[in-house]
Amino acid sequence: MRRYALKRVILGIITVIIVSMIIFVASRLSGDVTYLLLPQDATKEEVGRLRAKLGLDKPLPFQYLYFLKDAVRGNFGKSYRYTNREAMEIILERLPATAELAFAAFLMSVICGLLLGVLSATKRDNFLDTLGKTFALIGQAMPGFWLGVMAILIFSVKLGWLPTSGRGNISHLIMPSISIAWFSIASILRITRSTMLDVLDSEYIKTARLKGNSELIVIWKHALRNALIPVLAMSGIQLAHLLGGVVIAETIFSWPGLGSLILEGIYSRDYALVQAGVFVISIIFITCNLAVDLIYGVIDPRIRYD
Amino acid sequence: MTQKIILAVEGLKTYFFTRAGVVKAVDGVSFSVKEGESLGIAGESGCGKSITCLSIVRLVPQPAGRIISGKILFEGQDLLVKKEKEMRQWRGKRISMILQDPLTSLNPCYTIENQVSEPYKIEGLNNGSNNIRKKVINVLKRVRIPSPERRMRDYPFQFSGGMRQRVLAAIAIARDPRLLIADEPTTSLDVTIQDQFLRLLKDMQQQTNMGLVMITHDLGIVAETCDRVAIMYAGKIVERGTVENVFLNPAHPYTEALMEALPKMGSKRKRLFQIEGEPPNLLRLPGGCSFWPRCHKAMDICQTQSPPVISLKNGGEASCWLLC
Repeated sequence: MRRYALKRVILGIITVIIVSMIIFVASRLSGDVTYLLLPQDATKEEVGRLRAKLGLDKPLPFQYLYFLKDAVRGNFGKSYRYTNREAMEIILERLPATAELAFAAFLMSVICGLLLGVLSATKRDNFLDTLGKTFALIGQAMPGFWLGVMAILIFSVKLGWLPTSGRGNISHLIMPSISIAWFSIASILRITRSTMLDVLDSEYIKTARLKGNSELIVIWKHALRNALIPVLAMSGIQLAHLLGGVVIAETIFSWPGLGSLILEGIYSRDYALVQAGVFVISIIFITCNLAVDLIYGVIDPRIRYD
Repeated sequence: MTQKIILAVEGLKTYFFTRAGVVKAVDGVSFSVKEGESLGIAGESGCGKSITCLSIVRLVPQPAGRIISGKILFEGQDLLVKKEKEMRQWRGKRISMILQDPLTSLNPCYTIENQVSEPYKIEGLNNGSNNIRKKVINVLKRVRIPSPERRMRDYPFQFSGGMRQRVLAAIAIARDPRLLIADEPTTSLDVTIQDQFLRLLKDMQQQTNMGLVMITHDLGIVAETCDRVAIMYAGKIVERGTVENVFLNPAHPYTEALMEALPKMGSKRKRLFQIEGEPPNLLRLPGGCSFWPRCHKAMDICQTQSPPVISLKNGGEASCWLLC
């Protein structure tokens, strides 16, 4: 297990480095920031001076090395838009709100998806299964942003049950998290159902029943653990989807999180802010995938001993 | 010596209801097993051997498969009228079963110890002073797994096929069942390992005097390990009797053809005898006796009416019009 874990961690670190390169190059591709920062009638000298000050006059590889040197220390430079504040500081300030929303949505997708998937598989072709399948179909067919807008229309505007936007108590969390989670719940439900059906047909399940085990143990001990690997893989993919969905949901529900902040940053070519934000999201994503990989090893001994 | 009858199957019918039609996998099968006796059920693939066994433990694949009629009397009690919850208390405790593929029959995610200890946990044994662990080591010793104290911490994928089959045997005998069903237990093992495993089964049977039902398509295994044999064809038992009688004086043309097809030592014939044609599709059985299209001695009546079960002089039974 230790060797397996070490291998995964090293792979994770390599991924972080590659991500930093992509972030760096992508933000430079978006155009010259000096034209945004200076008034339209700025002279060539003024532009040159600012470029030198920001280090933009150096060749790209050097710029990247400077960027990396600072990034390791958590210094992504100052935001151009929020004058004179460290980009990282602003990002970390907004992180808890996004973490709250993403965590709620992720937890909801995994728990609901898994539970409904298992129930749907074990009660094949009856009422519960049909309900699960319908739920999955609707979830996969509706885009999250549309669902969010419709939810606001019905539950906030017409019924007045839930607040339309902003962050506060749990009632603020309900609509945004459901609107991002539904799609993921549906994906996890479908994959859980199909792998559970496969596993339940296998010989070791017969062995488990032949021992005289109750259905509870047969399903939750013997079948589920074997069905979990594809489900976990799907959860990892859904996490990426959730982090993307958060940007949209934050915009629709005016949720004061990272997503909307980065979006503003992109509009105003705020290099430092975008770099810091994307970097933080990438780190979260890579860490979660590392966790998924490590859990694989815990669940399936064949992976851990490989 | 009168031995108690443990299992008596009477007129068992298990059908599968599929979109294509009704598959009569087991169609009126009767047999019995006594204490300490081994019964071989032999037949070609798809003749209903495995489904017969799964019917006995009431684990016929749902929802397509259903037991239509018949009785399965285990120590005098009909298993078919029992509720699922009651049935669970019989599985593993009174009736055990070894499945045919040792490579897929153990759960890949749990250690051998975990899986072998389950029967004891179901029994409600408490784990005071490593009670269960001792039992696990003991039963693994009984199936001759070397250094069980160490090996029980391993996972199934670290065991060879033969060793895994022994683990399955250990699980099956853990609670000292009265009847052990072995469903082609040696199909996926090497010939040398096969022999070891069959000897192990026989030894375990002698120690505990349990009944043994050995399902196989290998008549050699039947000759080696069984006292009595039932030959199955297309969901029906066509002949049954002691191994000696059935092998030396087969009464049914199908049994006769099977014996003919066995390779013989010192025979000069180059090509083995073969039964022409294929086993019938269970969805579209021929009228009358299911075997007539392949039977050399088929008569007119065979094509229209099912043959009755005839008692033979040597104590066996066969169903064929020739014997009437």
